[in-house]
Amino acid sequence: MRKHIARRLARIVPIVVLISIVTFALLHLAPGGPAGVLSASARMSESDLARIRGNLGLDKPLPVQYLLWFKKVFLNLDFGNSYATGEPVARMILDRLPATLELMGASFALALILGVSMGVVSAVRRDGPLDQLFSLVSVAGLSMPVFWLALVSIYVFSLKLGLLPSGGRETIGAPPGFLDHLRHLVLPACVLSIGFLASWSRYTRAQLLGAIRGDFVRTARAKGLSERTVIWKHAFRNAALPVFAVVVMQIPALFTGAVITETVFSWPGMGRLFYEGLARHDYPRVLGVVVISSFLIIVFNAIGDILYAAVDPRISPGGAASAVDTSAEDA
Amino acid sequence: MMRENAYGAFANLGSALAPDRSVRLDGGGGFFACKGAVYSLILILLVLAVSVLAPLLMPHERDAMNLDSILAAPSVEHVLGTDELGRDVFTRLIYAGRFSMLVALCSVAIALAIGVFLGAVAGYFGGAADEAVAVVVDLFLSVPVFLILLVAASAGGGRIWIVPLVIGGTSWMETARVVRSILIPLREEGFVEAARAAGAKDVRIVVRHMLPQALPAVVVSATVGFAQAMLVESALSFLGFGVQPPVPTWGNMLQNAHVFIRQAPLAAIVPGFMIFITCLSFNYVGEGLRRALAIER
Repeated sequence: MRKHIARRLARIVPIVVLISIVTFALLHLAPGGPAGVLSASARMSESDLARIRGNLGLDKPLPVQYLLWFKKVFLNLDFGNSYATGEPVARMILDRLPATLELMGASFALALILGVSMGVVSAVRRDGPLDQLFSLVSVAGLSMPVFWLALVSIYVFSLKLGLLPSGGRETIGAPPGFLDHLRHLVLPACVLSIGFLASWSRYTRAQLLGAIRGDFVRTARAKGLSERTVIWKHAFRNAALPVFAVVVMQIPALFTGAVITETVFSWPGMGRLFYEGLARHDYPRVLGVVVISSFLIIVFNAIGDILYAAVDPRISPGGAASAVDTSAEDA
Repeated sequence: MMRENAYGAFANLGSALAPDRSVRLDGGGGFFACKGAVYSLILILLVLAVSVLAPLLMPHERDAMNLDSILAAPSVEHVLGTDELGRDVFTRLIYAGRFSMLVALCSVAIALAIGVFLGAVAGYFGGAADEAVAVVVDLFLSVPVFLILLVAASAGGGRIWIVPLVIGGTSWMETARVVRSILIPLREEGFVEAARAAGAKDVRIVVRHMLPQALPAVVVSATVGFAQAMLVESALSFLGFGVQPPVPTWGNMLQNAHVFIRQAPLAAIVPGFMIFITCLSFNYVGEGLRRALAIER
């Protein structure tokens, strides 16, 4: 077990470094590279361009540029300055982090509460009308483009009904207030949570059905325990931990969804920072966001995996072969 | 059995993300017993037929602009109105189906090629090869694929063939896992040993004797993968890093939609609805196939 944890943790740093190399290479593959944007966008002479390239360090060979970037990041968490605004990238990311965490937190709570409840109801009332309805909702949720759902909800709730604001984090000019803030949060949080809600409800359903078929549930029933006790004390407890591990692993995937949601709703978070950076060819910013979010994602993945191994001895080294995925099945 | 571990929890994560195997459509056994799947198939065929026949059916040019009727309301001439450049939205919608589905198809083909190859190598050879594939699968499942996909697509500079390449290149993991898990038990089977005893080479054993067994599962994974690929393409194109106008896809038709949603709500809603029902249909067909082909996994 300890070896398993150590192996997971040891992998974090090399993977993040690999991602930074790949992203760096991709950014410099773009036609013209970072300097290409400058030459295309501004009326500059060749000597100006050369000077700017020199200032930004773009005249050095690529591996040298990467190593210089890496050294700064590694030694003092300096991700360089934005080409567009000159601001330090680390500061920009820190400024945007609260908005992103707020959106992610709200969506996460929503998806978790609704998703798990739906999954439990579906499993207990298997094949009943609610189960069928929830199944439909979750297939629909997984088939729906996030940006489209965002557009439609803006159209319906903001333009037609006038109930909620169509974007931003607070009303500009108005005194800051909790209610105003909350009203801005409702639509993006709901939209972002749909995909997770869909996948967590089905995962909960599958896990719980798997648990209900287990021998220990038959034993509990044979003991004459009430159905409520059997479901909650025995079956759900067994299903809850794998669900929890999967949920933890997916927290950072909220970030991916946030890129689209934040863009459509003009939410001032890290996802929008990334999108704008990419659209404006602001490479230090793009690289910074990719590296930091990768780091978060991989750490959360590792935590989820370790939790899973802690719950299920079958996947810890020395145990029997991994039977994890069969337990999740509902044939 | 240590090598099983690398897949560990991620194997399960994959199945949580992929459409559930336990969705109930209707009762019954075969594909045609699932009404949802049958209707979905009909819908897909209809969308496909209309898209393919687009040039014969459409009265307007795909890219013809008319700056005198910008964001026009629906009329007899323009059933869904016109967009911000005065192009007929209905015509572009039909043509967009071609490109959206073509890109999804190519993405799936690339994902299948990579997934089947790596899954077969891991499943057939086992040992070090299996370990190596496990590390790669693990890597792809634990990185923010969508962000890197966006960066890659933007580095591609909007060339249309880049899009399926990056989508396919980042969505083959589930296929690899499925193929591997089917091939592993087959290694010990009599017919494989017989083929080997008869002097068949590795490639022939895998291709002729083992992969056909994985075919049903691969078909299902391709069907569901098609919906996924279409969603990813539409998101890329919506953000402006996928297929570039004037070539229309359902995703890039919405690029400016939120700016004009007040004036032209239909133009903002209909393309997304097409993505939604097409993906929904593919997911239902995938489920119907899974039941019809009796794929446990």
